[in-house]
Parts: sequence; C-alpha cells; structure tokens
Amino acid sequence: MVRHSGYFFGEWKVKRIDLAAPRLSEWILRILFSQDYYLERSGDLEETYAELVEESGPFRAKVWLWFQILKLCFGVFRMNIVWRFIMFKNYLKITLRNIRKNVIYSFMNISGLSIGLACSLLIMLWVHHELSYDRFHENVDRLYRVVYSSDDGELYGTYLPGPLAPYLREHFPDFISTTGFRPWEAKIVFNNKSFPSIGSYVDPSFFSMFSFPFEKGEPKAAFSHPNSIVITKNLAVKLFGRDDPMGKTVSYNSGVSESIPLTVTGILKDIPQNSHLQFGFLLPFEILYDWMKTWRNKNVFAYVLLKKNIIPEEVNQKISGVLKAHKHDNNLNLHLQPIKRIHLHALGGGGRITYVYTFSMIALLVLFIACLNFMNLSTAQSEQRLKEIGVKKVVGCSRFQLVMQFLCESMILSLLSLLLAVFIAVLLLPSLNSMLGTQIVFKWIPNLVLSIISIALLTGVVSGSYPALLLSSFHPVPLLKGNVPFFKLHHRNGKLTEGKNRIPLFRKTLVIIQFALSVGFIGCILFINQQLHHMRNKDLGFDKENILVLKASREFLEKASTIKQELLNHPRVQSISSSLLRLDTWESSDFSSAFSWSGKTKEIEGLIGQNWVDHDFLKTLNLEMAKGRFFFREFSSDPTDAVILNETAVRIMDIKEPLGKEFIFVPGSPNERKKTIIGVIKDYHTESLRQEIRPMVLELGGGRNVYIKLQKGHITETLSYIESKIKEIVPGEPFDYTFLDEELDNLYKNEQLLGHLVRYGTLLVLLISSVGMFSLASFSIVRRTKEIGIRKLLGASGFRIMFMLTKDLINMLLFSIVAAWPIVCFLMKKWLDNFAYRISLSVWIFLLSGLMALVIALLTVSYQSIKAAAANPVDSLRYE
Amino acid sequence: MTRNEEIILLTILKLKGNAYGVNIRKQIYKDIGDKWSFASIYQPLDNLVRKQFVRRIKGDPTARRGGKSKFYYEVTPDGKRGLQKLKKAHEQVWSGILDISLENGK
Repeated sequence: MVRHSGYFFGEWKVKRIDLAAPRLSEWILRILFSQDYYLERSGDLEETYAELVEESGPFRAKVWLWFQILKLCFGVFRMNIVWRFIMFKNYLKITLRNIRKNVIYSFMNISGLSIGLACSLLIMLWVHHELSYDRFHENVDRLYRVVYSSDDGELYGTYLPGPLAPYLREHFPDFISTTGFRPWEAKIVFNNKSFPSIGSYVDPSFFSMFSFPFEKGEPKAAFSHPNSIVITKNLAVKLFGRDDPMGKTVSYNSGVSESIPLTVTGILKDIPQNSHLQFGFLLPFEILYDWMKTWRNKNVFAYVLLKKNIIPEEVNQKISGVLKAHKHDNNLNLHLQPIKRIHLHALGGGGRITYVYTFSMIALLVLFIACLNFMNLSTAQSEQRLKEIGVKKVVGCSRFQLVMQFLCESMILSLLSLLLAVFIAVLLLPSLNSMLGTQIVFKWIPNLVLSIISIALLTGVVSGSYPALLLSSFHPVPLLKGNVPFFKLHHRNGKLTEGKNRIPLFRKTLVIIQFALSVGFIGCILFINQQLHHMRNKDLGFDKENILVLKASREFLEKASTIKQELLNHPRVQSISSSLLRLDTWESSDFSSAFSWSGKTKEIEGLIGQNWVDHDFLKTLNLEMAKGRFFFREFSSDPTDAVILNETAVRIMDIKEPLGKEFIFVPGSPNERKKTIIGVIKDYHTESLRQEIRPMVLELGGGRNVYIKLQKGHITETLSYIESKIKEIVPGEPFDYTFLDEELDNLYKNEQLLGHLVRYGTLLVLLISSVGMFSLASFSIVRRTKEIGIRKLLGASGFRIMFMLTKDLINMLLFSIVAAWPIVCFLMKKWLDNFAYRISLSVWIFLLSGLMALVIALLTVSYQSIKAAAANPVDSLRYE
Repeated sequence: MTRNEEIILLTILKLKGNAYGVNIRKQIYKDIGDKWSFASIYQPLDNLVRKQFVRRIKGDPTARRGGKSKFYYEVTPDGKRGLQKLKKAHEQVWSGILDISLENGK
C-alpha cells in the first residue's frame, strides 16, 4: 500500500497528547474515506476539536465530535446505497444481455439447476409430511403405545391382551389415562344401506388422550352409554347424506356375531392423513367380544398418556413384568414406544425413517450435481467474456466490482431457476402423490420456503464465486490480446505463460464427481431392479398364478362345503382350499411356544408356526411333499390325530425319522393334545423374502383365508360366476377379492418405491449431467475451432479429430467409473443384507453400469464432435 | 448550483487562498450565524469539485492537525463564470420586488 510519505513522517514526529481526537473516531474515518479525503476530514475535525477542548472542555468537544462523525457516516452510507442500486441496474442489464446472447446455454444452465431444485423441493415436502405424522396431538410428547419384546430381543410386537389397558390404569399411578384400540372391519347398516368400514373399539378416555376434534357431539358424553358409536364425517356423509346423523340408530354387523343396534353420539372431523391411527368409526370397549377380554389372547393395541414430568424409562421398568405375571409360559417384556416414533421407526429398528434418509440423500445428491453443473457451465460461459473483463479493467473497473458483477449474475440465474423449479414441482406433485399414495399439497411452510430460497442463493454465490474470483484476478493486457486460454495463465519467473489447451483441473474434478454419481446411480438401480426381479420370480414353493384370495366371514365358513361344491361345478374353478394363516405375512397372534415330540433332545429357539389347512391345500397351491403323505379324506383319524411338519421344522427339531413320531401340543397342561406326524411338506415361503422360512406345523382344519385356483383365461367371467354364487348362498357377503400374486407383490411395496425413486433419481442425474456435458463439449469445441481447422488442413482424419475431442472425456469417465464402484458395492451390500434371499453382487452389473454411463456420455458429445470433425476447415479458419 | 454550494463558493472566494475546511466553516458562522456541521460542508464541496467549479490543492502537514495535510480550495474560472450567471439570475428574479414587509403579522 502506498502512503503519502509526508503524512507518515508528520504523524511520527508530532506528539499527540490531550488535544488529540479519540482513536476510534480516527479509525472510523479511515474506513469511510480514501486516503486524501481521510487526511482532510480527520485534520479538520481534529483542529476544530482541539479548539473546542480549550473553549468549552473535553466533554462537550467529544459530544460535538461524535455528532459530526455520525453525520459524515450517514452521508457516506446514503451515497453508497444510491450507487449500489445504480450498479445493480447495470449488472442486471449485462446479465440479461448475456442470457439473450447465449439463449441455449443459458436455458440449459437454468433448466439443469431448476430440475435439481424442483427435485429437492418435492422431496423436502415429502420428508416434511413424513415427519409431521401424529404431531398434531396436543399431548404428543406424553402419548405412548405399549409394546412387547422377548427377553432375547428377537421377537417384538404391538398386539397385546385386551385387559391390559384398564389394568395399567388401575395399578400404576404414572398414567393419566389409558385406552385399548382394537381395529375391526365391519359393516354399518342404515336404512338397508350397508357400508363396509374399518373402525375400532376404544375406551372412553380415547377422546381426552388424542386430539381428534369433534364436529358434533360431546367428547366426554360420547360413550356414556355402551351402545354408542362415533363416526367420522366421511362415513356420516356416506350413510346419512345431508341428514343429521346425531341420535340415529344404525345396525352394526361385525361379521362374526349377530348385528347390534347402536346410537350415533358423535361425529368426528375426518382423520388427517398424517395420523397412524386410521378409522371410520369408534365403539366403546364394553361391546368387545369376550374372547378379546382375556389375558390369553393378544389382539388389542394399548395406548397410554403419561402424567407430566414422568420419565418413560422408569415406567418401562415398572411395567415390564406385567405380561409374565399374567401368562406364566411367556418371556415377553412390556415397554413404551413414543407415539411420534410409530410411523417412522419400526420396532425392530429401521422402518420408514431409512427411506426418509435415503430420499433426502438422493435429493441432496441431485441438487449437488445440479449445482456442480451450474458452476461448471457458468465458468465455461465466463471464459467467453475475457475481452469484456479486459476492457472493463482497462477502463477502471475495480476488482470488487467485477466480483460483484459475476456474483450478481449467477444469483440472478439461480433465482430464475428457483422460479422454474417451483413451477416444475407444482406440475409434478400430483404424480408424486399418486406414486407415494400421499396427499401432499403445496403449503406455505416457512422453514421450507426459507431453506429452498437459501439453497438457491447459496448455489448462486458458490457457483459464481469461482469465475468471479478467478477471472477478476487476471492482468488485463493478455486478456485484451485475445486468444489466451485463461485457465493456464500463470506467473512463471514474472512472465505470463500459456499452458496447453486442456480442461482445467477444477472443472475436471467437477465432471468426474458428476459422472461418478451417475455411474453410482446406474449401478444402484441395476442392483435394485435385479433384486426386485429376483423376489418376484423366485420359486416360493407354491404356485401363485391364477389364485383368487378371499376373506371369509362367519356365515361364509358355516356354509363352506355348499359353496365349495357349487363353485367347483364351474369348469374353470379347479380347486378350493382354506387356511388359517396367510401366505404373505406371519400373523399368528396367538401362538404357543410349548411343543414337544417323541425323542425331543433339546429345547428349540424361536417359535413354531401353527396353521390349520384343509384337504385341498396341497393341490390348490401345488405344494409338494418331501416325505409321507398329506391329509386324506379317506383317513377318518386325520382331523384328530395327524400333523404335518415342514422341512425347516424337521431340521430345527432334529428328528431323524419324523414319520410316525408323536407330536405334543401344550405338554403338561389340561389342553394337551397328542398327534402323529404323517408327513413332511417341502418348505414354502409364508412371508416376504426378507425373512428366512420358519418352522411350521400343519393341522387339518381351515380358516378365514380362502384360496381358489382358477384356470387361465376368461377371468372376469369366472369371477362374476363366483360372485353370483357366493351372493346367492350367503346374501350380503362382500366380494372383496385379491389375487395371490398381487398380494405377494404388495409385500415389496417399499422396495418398489425405493426402486421408483432411485430410477427417477438416476434419470434426473443423467439428464442434468448430460445437459452439462453437452454444453461443456460445445464450449470447448468452439474454443478449439481454429485448432481443428489447422489439424484438418495438415491432414488429420475426421476420426482422429473425434478421438482427440473425446479423449479427455473418456479418461475422466474411466476415472469416475473406478471411483464409483466401491461406493455402489458398499451401499448395495448394506441394502441386500435386509433380505434373507438375495442376489449376489455380480461383476457384470458393475461393468454394465460403467458401459451405460460411457455410452450415454459419448452419445451426448458425439453430435458436436462429429459436426466439428466433418466441418470444412476453410470455414473454421475463417471463423473469428 | 444549490444554495449551499453557492454559499460555499462565495466563502471560498472571500477567503482568498486561505480556504480550507475549518476556515470555511468559521467564515460561514461569521456571515450567517449558523454552525454548520462538517458533513454539510463536505458534501457541497465534493459536488463543486466534481463540477470543476473548485480546485483542491494539497497543503503541508500541520502539527495542529495531528500531522495531517490541509486541503485548500480555489475557485476555478468555470466557478467564477457560474457565480456571475447566478448573480445575474438573482437580480433578474428579484427585480421589481421592492418591499417584503410582514403585514398583519403574516
């Protein structure tokens, strides 16, 4: 810094003691004014200050001085703001001119970033929705669900005995109130109109614990009479139309007993989607069936409201032994689960929260790539403006002003893309909703709005800062001489030298990161697709094609044999069977882990599933026997004396020759039953492929799940035949059917969702990086037009020129492919660990992902390189 | 030219080569009786410099000022021409108005 020597000299010599103005004021003036003006102003002030000190004392002088400085500050600030505004107008003008000059590149740049922003905006909306679950309850921090887990932590669940909730309320002072919650699918009948709906049995305290507002009726009085029902507005409109439902009597048909008349005592506002409790109606617990009121069965949820300032861990300790005290043969402990965790956190760890994390990651990555792209393109574009910078510098533009100009430009561009992003997001939201099954709407969520705006601005600042700082640092003379590739200018021995005409390291890194991410996404989606395909096509041990699944009611089961005969009359109905357990989930709410068998050598770990099936189970599902025989109608002893094990059970129980051995249920209790093992059935899956096949015991019987094997073709006709027959025999029976293969596909809904989202993510990432690649390639080719012309003139073939143009790109791609593989490998290994039955990480997928990225990249740049290579060298040399 | 600029330009002319910030302010106090702040002196001064009605001349460092230079101001021919024009305009505008007396206390 050059300072006036006289000034320095003078300051050194002169002693400044009591007459000197305070140091701080000097400092302020030095900041406000440039050197000469500072000298003048500070000098004038100091002179007058000294006079004032002599005239009226130091205090008044000081007050006067500060008043003067304040006024000076104000003047300077006012001037600066005015000038800033004028400069900003100029920046804006230059930005718009630049956009107009390179319409295509600007459009690509803006659209790339806006895709990234739109994607992250949508995912942020979704994450916000997911995190908002159950937060609307007033007492959300004190509401808990009671859950159980086994001593070893292997087993956990939420279904508990019916009497638990009242028991907890009576015996533990920590709870303000408790309620049971027993979902039940039933029909509500009014004026011969019946509507199936899923509702629940609850305690009267339900309404004081949860904040489900009433539209009509009094929460406290709703269940004062046992024969009451509270329905949601939605159901009320369906049942009563515009009439007032309050006080009307409806008939409640639960499907397992006679209809009961109930009086409507309240209308609830519709249940928000972000509540994990969903129901159409509520009934008081008093009318619950007796079999639900015993400690023996587990089929009711229990919710509690803690008193204030009670630590849930202490309550956990108190209540953990309650189940053991009531059910001696059990090893289950109770504990509390906060209600706000229910939606996202599964009991055994994991749950939807992993998807929230995954999608946030995807959003971040897409945004990251979009930002890199934006940065890269702005840099490349600003290369074209070296002359502009040179001229500006020569005319006297300060570095600060250049930096400001570039920052302003990139911020304007990023704000434009934010606008476009909001537009895209609004357009895409409905399809996102239908894909995720949600009802997210655009709302004014301050945090979200703030964060997305700050992300856009940050992108602008970060992407603008590189060209801003770099370009403004150059010496203007070489810039004005033209044809100087800016990035290889460096000072060597005090001289500016030119480097090779290559892509600079910084941009290279950006492209490599971008491509590594693309390769990573491609690899992940290939693996996910393969695993999904594997799960859908794995041999499950039974036929899942053309099998109709029905849920039978009590009336249906009573007349099962008639129905069966009638249906089998149809030539396309091949066979019919029923079982207690389903084929897609392991729902044995009432198991008993006590089994014994002849020759038992050791206690087995885990549980053995119990299923009741009928004679045609094997035939309908095309299962196979490993040893022995299935249940035959000809053997009259089968219903009482025969069991069939699956292979896993035999293996776990370690029975050498199972056939003919004795199998004992509940040994040593009054309910003890002894049966003979008549066969071993080959293993078949009863759960998703995430789980290993579990040991299973089959007895002769049947259950609610009816499987009807149909012949291929003419499905609709067969279905209408079945429907009419069932309606004929059991009037009023709903005909809600699914197909077994669809039901099994539903098991992998989450995985399919993941697949969908990763697929879209891949698409976006590829799109953005291809756009970037395209523009970058065209920029670099434009810069090398002359070089290409000269090379062609000297006899280079078109192929060689294409090779030269894509060589750099291929190198970078290979590098990024190698960088991406270990990451894909790690991520996919972790994901595949969720599945007991999974694909292996095969090499060819890695190779394929790399190859795909390579092909896409080459296709993107091929157009321009072919055009450049085929161009007439005369034209390109004339190009200026 | 604003009123403040005019006053300052005339003061500089009056001070004849001894016009710098402190003196200008003192002279204005003597003539008008108001104590102007330095900010309201510098702003018109800067404007006058920009319009080239006034030239800025750097003096020597002075002990009294903490070793800082004085900056003197001198009216340029342009400035003088501007003042003449202004004076003429004043006279034109005022001509014909003989008496501004406050009648009825208004």
